[in-house]
Amino acid sequence: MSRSDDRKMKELADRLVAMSPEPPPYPEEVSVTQREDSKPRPVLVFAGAALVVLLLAAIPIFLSRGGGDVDPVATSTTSTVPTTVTTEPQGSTTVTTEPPVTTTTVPATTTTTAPVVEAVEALLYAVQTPENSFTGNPALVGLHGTVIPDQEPMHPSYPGLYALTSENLFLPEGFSNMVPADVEILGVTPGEHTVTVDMNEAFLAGSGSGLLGDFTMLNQLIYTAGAFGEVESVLFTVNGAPVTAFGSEGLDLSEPQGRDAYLDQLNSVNVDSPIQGQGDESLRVAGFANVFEATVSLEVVDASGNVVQEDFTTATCGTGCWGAYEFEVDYPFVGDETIRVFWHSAEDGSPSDVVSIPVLWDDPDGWDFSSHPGTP
Amino acid sequence: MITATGVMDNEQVYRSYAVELTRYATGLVGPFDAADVVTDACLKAFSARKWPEVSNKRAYLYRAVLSVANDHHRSTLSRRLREMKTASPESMPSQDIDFDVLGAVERLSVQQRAAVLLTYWADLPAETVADRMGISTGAVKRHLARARKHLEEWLS
Repeated sequence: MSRSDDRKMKELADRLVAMSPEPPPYPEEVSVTQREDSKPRPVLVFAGAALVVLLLAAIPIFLSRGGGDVDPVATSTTSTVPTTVTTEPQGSTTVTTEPPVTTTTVPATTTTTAPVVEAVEALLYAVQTPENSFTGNPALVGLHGTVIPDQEPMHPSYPGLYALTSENLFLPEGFSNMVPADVEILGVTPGEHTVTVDMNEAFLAGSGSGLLGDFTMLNQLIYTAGAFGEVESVLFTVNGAPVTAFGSEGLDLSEPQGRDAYLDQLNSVNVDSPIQGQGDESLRVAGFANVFEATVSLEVVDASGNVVQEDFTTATCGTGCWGAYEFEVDYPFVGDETIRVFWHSAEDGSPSDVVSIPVLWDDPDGWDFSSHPGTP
Repeated sequence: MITATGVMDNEQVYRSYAVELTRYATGLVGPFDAADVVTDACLKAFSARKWPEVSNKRAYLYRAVLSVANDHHRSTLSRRLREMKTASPESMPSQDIDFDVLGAVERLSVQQRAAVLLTYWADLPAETVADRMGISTGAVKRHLARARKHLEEWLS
C-alpha cells in the first residue's frame, strides 16, 4: 500500500469521524437494573444528518483528486481528532457544525503497518446439526465469504478447501467444520474431472469424531472441491501416496471420491446456494434433498421469530432418491431474517430435518471466515 | 469521581472517554445513532460482572462500542437507506445526496469501518487494533484491504 493510499484512508477516516455529534450525557440509570427504556437521545441529530450528507457527497471528489485537496464543503475539524493511542480525550473538545476556514491537517506521525495480505473469496460447505432430525445425520450448507489464506502457496481455484483446513476459520453461529485444525493441504492438482488433493499425515486420522464425523469431513471436502468448475470427484493422497486407511474405521480412499460416495450419511435436506443477496432482488435458495414425495418446504423467519413467508417446491426426485430443488424467495429482506428449509413429516406433518441459515443482505462479500465479532 | 484508592468510578470513566467513543461510534454507524450506540455500550460494559476487574477500561469500552455497533448496523442502516431512497425530495436534508456514495459507505461492514478508524484515525498499530476488535492481526489486515478495495471500487 502506497503512502498516497495511506493518506487517502487517513483523511477519509478523519472525515467520517468529523461527523460526530456531541457525546451523550452520562447514563445515570446505569445503577438501575431496568436500563433498556431510558436511553438518552442524540442532541444534534438533525445537524449531524445535514453534515453527513455533505461529507458523504464530498468523498468521491476527495478520492478522485487523489486525496491531496480538501473539499471546501467538508466540515472537517481534525484538530480535535486524537492522533496517537496515548492521547487522552480533551474535555473541552467539541465538533462544530460550522464549515472550517482552515485546511485539514494530516497527522504528522505514521505508525500504521501497511496491510499486505489480501483476502480471497471462497465458497465452502459447513456442517449444521438439523432440528427434528429424522436420521441424526448432519446437513451440508454452502457458505460464501472471504478468508485470509494461512497456507502458502495456495491453489487460487480452491480457496474453500484451504479455508476448511485453516487454523483460523470462523464460521457463523450454528455451523461447524469437521476438518481438524492440524490437517493441511500440501498441494492441489486439477484434472479434467478429478482434482487430486494432497494432504499431510494428520488427514489420515480423520475427523476424530467417529465414523459419521469422518463421512461428514469427507463430504465437506468433496463438495467444497466440487464447488468450482467441472470437478466430479476428488482423489485424496497423503504426501503423494494413495490413502488406503482413513479415519476411525480405516476407509479406503485410494479411488476418486464422487459427490454421491457418502450422500446417505447426510441430512435429507442440504443447501448449496449461499443465502445472501442485495437490494430488491429475490433470494435464491437451492440444494439437494431426499424427502417424502420430493416436497421441500421453506420458511422466512424474521428477527422476532415470526414466520413471515412460507413456500414449498418439488425436488427433481424424492422418497428414496436424491433430487435438486430451488426456490426464488421474494421478500423485503433486511438481513436479520433466517431461512428454514425442511420437509413435512408424513407421519404428523411436523417440520423435519430443519436447516436454518441466517440471511446475509446487502453484504456481497458474504461471511468473514477469518474473524469473529469482538464481544466484551 | 476518583475514589480514595485512585480508581475512577463509572462516571469518571465515562467523562474521560465519551468524546472519543462517540467519534468512534460515528465512524461505525454514522452520526444519527452514535450517541445511542455509545450509551448502550457503556451501560452494557458498566453492568458487566467483570467490569470492576477490567484493567484497560478504555480498550474494553472500544470493544463494547464495536459490539453494539455490530448488532445495530445491519438492520438499522439498511432500513434507513431504503427509507431515504423512497422519501420525498423536500423531506431530505439536502438536494445533493449521492445515493451511490451513501450506499457505498453503508455497504462497508462495521468491522471494516472499525479497522479503518482504529488504524487511520487513532493511528494504532495492527496488533492493538486486533486487540480492540477482538480479532487476529491477519483479520485486521484483511478488513483494511477489503475496505480499501471497496471504497476504490464504489467511489472512484
